[in-house]
Amino acid sequence: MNEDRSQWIITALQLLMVLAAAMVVHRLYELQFVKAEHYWKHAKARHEYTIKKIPSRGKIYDRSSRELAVTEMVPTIYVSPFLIADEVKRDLAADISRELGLDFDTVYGRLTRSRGDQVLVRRASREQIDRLMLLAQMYREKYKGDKKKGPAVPRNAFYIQEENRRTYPFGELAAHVVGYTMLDDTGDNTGVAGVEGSYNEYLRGKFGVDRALRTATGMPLEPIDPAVLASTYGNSIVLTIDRDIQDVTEKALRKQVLASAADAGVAIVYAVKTGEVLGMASVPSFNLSDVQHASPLAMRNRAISDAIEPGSVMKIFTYASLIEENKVHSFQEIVDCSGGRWTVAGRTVVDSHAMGAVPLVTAFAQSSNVAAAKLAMTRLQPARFYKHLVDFGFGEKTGIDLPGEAPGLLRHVKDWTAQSVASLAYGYELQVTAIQVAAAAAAIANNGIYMKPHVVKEIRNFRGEIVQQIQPEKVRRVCSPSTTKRMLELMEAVVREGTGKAAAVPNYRVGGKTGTTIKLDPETKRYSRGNYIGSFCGIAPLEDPEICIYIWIDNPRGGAYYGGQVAAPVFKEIAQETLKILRIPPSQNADEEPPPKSIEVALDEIRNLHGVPAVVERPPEDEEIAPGCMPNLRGLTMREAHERLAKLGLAFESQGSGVVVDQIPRPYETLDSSQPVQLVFGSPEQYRESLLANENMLAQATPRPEPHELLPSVSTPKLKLVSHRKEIEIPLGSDSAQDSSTVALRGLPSPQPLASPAATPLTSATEEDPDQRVYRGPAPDAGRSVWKKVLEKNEDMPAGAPAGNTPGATPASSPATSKSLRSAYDIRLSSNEPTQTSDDSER
Amino acid sequence: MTDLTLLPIRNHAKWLFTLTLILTGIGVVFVLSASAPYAARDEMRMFTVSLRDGSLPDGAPSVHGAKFFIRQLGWALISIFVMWRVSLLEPSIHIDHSRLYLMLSVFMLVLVFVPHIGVERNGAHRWIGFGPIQIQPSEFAKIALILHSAAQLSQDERETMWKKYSLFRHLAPKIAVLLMLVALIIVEPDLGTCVVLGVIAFSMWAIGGVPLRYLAGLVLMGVGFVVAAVVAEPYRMRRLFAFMDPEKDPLGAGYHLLNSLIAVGTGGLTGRGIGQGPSKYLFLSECHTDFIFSIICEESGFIGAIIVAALFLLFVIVGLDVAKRVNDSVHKYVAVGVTVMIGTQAFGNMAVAVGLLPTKGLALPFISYGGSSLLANMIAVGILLSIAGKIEYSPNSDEKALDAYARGAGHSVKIAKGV
Repeated sequence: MNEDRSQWIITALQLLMVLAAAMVVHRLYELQFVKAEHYWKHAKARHEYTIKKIPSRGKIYDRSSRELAVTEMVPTIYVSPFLIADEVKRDLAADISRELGLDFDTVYGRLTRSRGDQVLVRRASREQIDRLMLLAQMYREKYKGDKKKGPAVPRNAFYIQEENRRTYPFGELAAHVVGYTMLDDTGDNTGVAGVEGSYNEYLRGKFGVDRALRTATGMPLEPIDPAVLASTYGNSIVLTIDRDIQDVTEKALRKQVLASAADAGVAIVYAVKTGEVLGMASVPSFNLSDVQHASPLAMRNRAISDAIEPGSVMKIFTYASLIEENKVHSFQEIVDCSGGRWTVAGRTVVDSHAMGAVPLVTAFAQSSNVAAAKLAMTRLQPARFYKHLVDFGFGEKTGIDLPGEAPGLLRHVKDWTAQSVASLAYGYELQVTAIQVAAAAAAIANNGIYMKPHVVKEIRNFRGEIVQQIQPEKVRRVCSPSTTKRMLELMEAVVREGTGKAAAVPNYRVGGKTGTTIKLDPETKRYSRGNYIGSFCGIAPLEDPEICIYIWIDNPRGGAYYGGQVAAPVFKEIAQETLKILRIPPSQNADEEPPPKSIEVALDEIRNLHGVPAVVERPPEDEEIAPGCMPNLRGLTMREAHERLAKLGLAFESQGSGVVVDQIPRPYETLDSSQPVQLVFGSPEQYRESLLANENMLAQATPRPEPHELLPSVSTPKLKLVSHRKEIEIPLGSDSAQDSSTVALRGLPSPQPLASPAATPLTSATEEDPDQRVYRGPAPDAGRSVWKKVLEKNEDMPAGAPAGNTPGATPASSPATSKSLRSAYDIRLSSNEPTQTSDDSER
Repeated sequence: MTDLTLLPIRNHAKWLFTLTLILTGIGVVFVLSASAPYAARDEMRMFTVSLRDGSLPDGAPSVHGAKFFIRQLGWALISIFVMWRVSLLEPSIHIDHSRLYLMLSVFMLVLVFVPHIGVERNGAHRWIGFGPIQIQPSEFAKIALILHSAAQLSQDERETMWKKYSLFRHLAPKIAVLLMLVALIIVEPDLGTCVVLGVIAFSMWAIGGVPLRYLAGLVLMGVGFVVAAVVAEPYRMRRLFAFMDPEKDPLGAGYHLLNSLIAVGTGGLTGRGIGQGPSKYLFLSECHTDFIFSIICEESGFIGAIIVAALFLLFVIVGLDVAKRVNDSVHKYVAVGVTVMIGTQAFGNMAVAVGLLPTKGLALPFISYGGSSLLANMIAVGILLSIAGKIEYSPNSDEKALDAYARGAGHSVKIAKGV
C-alpha cells in the first residue's frame, strides 16, 4: 500500500511537471504570438534609438579632379551632465580642465547645466579623448556609488560624435571661387561664399536619421543603413577652374598688384568656346584656412561683384557694334582724331596720345577716345548701340553660378544724355564687372555666340558618379562671325603695334585691348587724374580663339598706370602659361614674318577670291627693309643691334649702355656705308620715352629711294590678304581728291639736330601729285611703278578674268572706284608703311 | 506493485545521460550568445561610431566576449567527467556518507559569511572563493539534503515497520535539517534555493511515507513562512508585485521582468536567430544566468523554447520513471529528490522568465552559466544514473528472440567475412 502510495505520488509529481510545462508553453504562446506586437513596440522603444548622422559635405575639385575643398571628420566630446553625481562635478571639472587643457569655468558650467547633452570639446584630439576616458575610468572606480544610484560617473556620461570640418588643401588658391563655410546651429557647415555658397544645397547632404539597435549603455549595434548613410553624403562639385591656371593667374596678378602698389586687381581666364571660367583671381585675397582673420575687403570676389567703368576696353564693343552695324567698311578708312581733343555735347573727349587723321585700325590700336566717340556718335544710332551693349550682357548679371554677382550699370537708352553715346563708346557712363567683360569679349571671339559663364563643370555624387553635367549654354548671338574675324584683327593690331605691345606672347598670335580708366572720385564725384584703373582684355590664340583673359589693376601707384603698362604684362604672363597648360599649339608663323609673296601672287589671290582685301596686316616692327635703307634698331640690345648691322656689313659706334635709344642714320634713311652707324644706348624707360617722338619724326623722315631701288623691296611685302567682298578693281593709283585732307602725313618737326634729308612735307606731296597723298612711307612713285608693272603683266592674262577685275580699269570718281581705291591703298600702305605707330600726332 | 511507468523505455540511464548532454550543449551555446556583451562590457570603449562608414566601434564584442563561454565549457567538461565517475559508484555510498555531506554543506554555507573566503556580489553572500574558482555552496546543499533525507526516510521506513510514526521522532529531525539549511541560505539571501529545498524535501517526504496530514500542515506553515520572508524584505515585495504587472513600473520594479517579457515576446515562432537578440546587450540583467531562458525564447523562438521545455519534461518524467522502477526505496527517494530538484528549478526558472512567477533567482539547470550549479546538478544526475543502473528490466520474449537473432546474425556475418 505504501509502495502504491509512493508510485501514485510520483505519478502525480510527473503530472504536476507536465502541468508546469504546459503552463510555461501556454504562456510562451501568449507572449510570442498573442501579445507579440505589444512587446515589439516595447522592444523598439528600448532596444533601438535614433542615430543622427551629420552630413558629410561633398568635395570641391578643380577641372582635373584635384581636391580644393575636403571634409574631415573630427570627433566632438559630449557630456550628459544629468548622469553625473553632483558631488563629484567640481572635482571632475577641475580634473578635466587640467588634463584636457580647457578652461575650468567653461567645463564646470557645462557639467552643471541642468538638461540636455553639452559639447565638452569640439574637434577633440585623440589624446584628449584618451585622457578623458582614463579620467572617467578613474572616477568610476573611485566613486563607485551605492547600488541604487549607480556609479557617480557612469559609463555613458561622456560620448563622442564625429562632426564635419572643412579643410582647404590649397589655402589661398581660388579662395574667392571656392568660398568657405560656417558652422550653423544644426552643427553642420553651411557654405556662405563662392561655390560653397552657391552650391550649398548640392554639397551639404542630408541629415541621416536612422533607427538602430543599441546596447543599454547607448552603444550602437548596427551600422547605419547604407541607404541612409548614402543620403548624408553631399555631392562633389567639379569646378571649371584649373588649379594650375588659377595658380598662374593669381601669382601674375599678385605680382603686378604688389609691383605697382595697387589697391586691388582682378584677373579672369575665360574659356571662349564653353563659357567656363578657367581662372578667377582677385587681389587682395585671403586664406581659406583662416577665414576668421580675413578682412571683408579681401573676401570680396571683385571679379564678379566690383563694377567699374571699363574705359578703353569698352572700345572692343563699340567697334564690334560699328562693324556689326556695317558702319565700318575698311580698317584703313581714315578717322580724324582731331588732335586728341574733341568736344561733343559739352563734353571734351581727350586722348592720351594726340593723333590726327589716322586709319581706323590705328585709332583702335592707339586707343583713341576721340575716334571711338566720333565713330559712335556719327555712325551709331543710340538705340542700336544700346541694343548691342545689352546683347553683350552689360547692365545685367551674367548669371554666373557664384553668389554676390553685381549687375553693373547700363542706363537705358531713354535716359541717355547727348554725350552718352560718346562716353559709352570709350567706356564711361557705365559700370561693368570683370566677368561681364570677359564673357562679352569671349562672345566676340566665339564667332559671336555669347556663352553663359560658369565655374562649375559637373556635380558628382559621393561615389564619383556624375549626377549633373553643366553643359556650355549658348545665350544668344551678339555678332556675326565676320565681325568676329574683323574684331580679332583689330585686337591683334593693338598687341602688334598699339598700346598693348606688352601683351604679346611669343609664338602665339594674340589680340586684345588695353584700357585706362580715370576713376570717379567717390567723394568729389569728379574724375580725378591720379587715380586710375589699368586694364587689359585679351584673346588667344587668334586663329582659333580658346581663352579670353581680362585683367584690371585698381589704382596703380608706381608711375605706370596705363592698361598697356600694368595689365598687359599680366596678360602676357597668364596667357603664356595658360596656353602651355591647355596644350594649345603655337600659332603658325606668329613671330616670324609671313612668307613673302610676290605682288603677282597677291593679285592672283585677289582676283581668284573676287574679294577686296579688307585688312592688310602691317609689317612687324623688325621688318626687313629695303636695301640701302637703315634698319630700325631702337629697343634692341647691343648684341642684337650688332647682329643686324653685321648682316648689312656696317660698322657702328656706340655710346651708353642698355638698349638702343637713338640711332644715326635714322631708321629707313638712306645708308651711307662709308659712315659708321652711331648708336645711343639707354635704359628701357628712356627708350619708351623717346619712342613716340622718334616715331613721329620717323614718319616724316622716311627717305624716298629711287623707284628702281624700291621695287625689290615692294615685291617682298608682308601681304596678308583677307577678302570678303566680291568685286575688286585694280586701281592705278589715281585719286579722288576728297580724301587728301585726311590722309595727311604727320610728323613733328624733328627734335634732333640731325637733318632729315628727305623730309617730305605733306603739302609738297599733294602738290606734286594727288596720287602721292597715300604716301606714308617711301617713294611716291614706287607704288605707281609697281601697279604699272602689274598692269602690264595682267594685260597678258586670259580674258576669263571677271570684268570687274579687268586690269587697267582706270579709276573713276564713282563710289565703287573710291572704295577699290581704298583697297589698293591698303595694299600699298601695308607694304610700305615704315612705322609702327605714327598716329599720335598730327601736324 | 502497480506499474505506473509513463514511458515504456528500457534504458533510462542512457536517456537521462543523453538528455543531460543535450541540455548542457544547448546551455553552452546560449551562454556564449547571452554572456558575450556582458563579458565584454569592460572592454567596450566610449561611444565612438565612425559615422563616415558607419562601422562599429573598436570595442564591440571581441575575444573578451567569450570569457564566460570558455569557463562554462570547461566546467561542462569537468562536470560531465564527474557525472560519469559518480554514475559508476554504488549509490549506497552516498547514502552512507549523507551525514558527512550535510555537515560539509553546512560548513561551506557558514564559510560564505566569513570575510575573505565568502564573496559578495550585488549585496548577496552566495559564494565562497578559492582564487579564481568560486563555489556556490547552496547548490551542493541541495544534494546533501536529498541524500540525507533519503537516508532519514529509509531509516524511518525500517523503524515504522514495527513502530507508529512519530511526529517528533521521525518528522522533527527532517524539519530541523531542512530549516537549518533554509536558515543558512535565506540569510545569503537566496529565496529561490530555499523554495527549491522545500519542494525537494516535501516531495521526498510525501513518497517516504510521512503522513499526509503532517505534510498538509507543513505546507500551510511553509506558505506562511514564504509570505513572511517576502514581507520581511521590501525588495521581494516589489519583485512580487512587479511580476503581476511589470508595465506599471517599467523602469523600476518591473524593469527586469519587462525586459525578459520583451525578449520572449519578440522571439516569435522561430526567434531572431541565435546570437541575434538585442536584449542581451545589457538590457536583460543576468541574462546568461537566471534569464537565459528569455534569451533562448528571443533567439530561437517558440520552437526553441518548446524543445528546451520538452527536454526538461522528458528528463523529469524519465527520472521519476526511474524512481518508480527501482526496487530499493532509498534509491527511489534519491531519484525523486534529484529529479524534482532539476524539474523544480527548470520549470521554476522558465515560469519566472515568462512572468508566471516572481523573480527570485533560480538557475536553469545545465543551461545557465555557473560552474557550481552545473557541477552540483551533474553530480546529482550522476547519482541518478547510478540508481537507474539498478533497474531490473524484465526481459520479454520478443527481446530474447531479437537478442538471439542478433547474436546469430553477428556470428554468421563474422563467418561470412572469414574473420
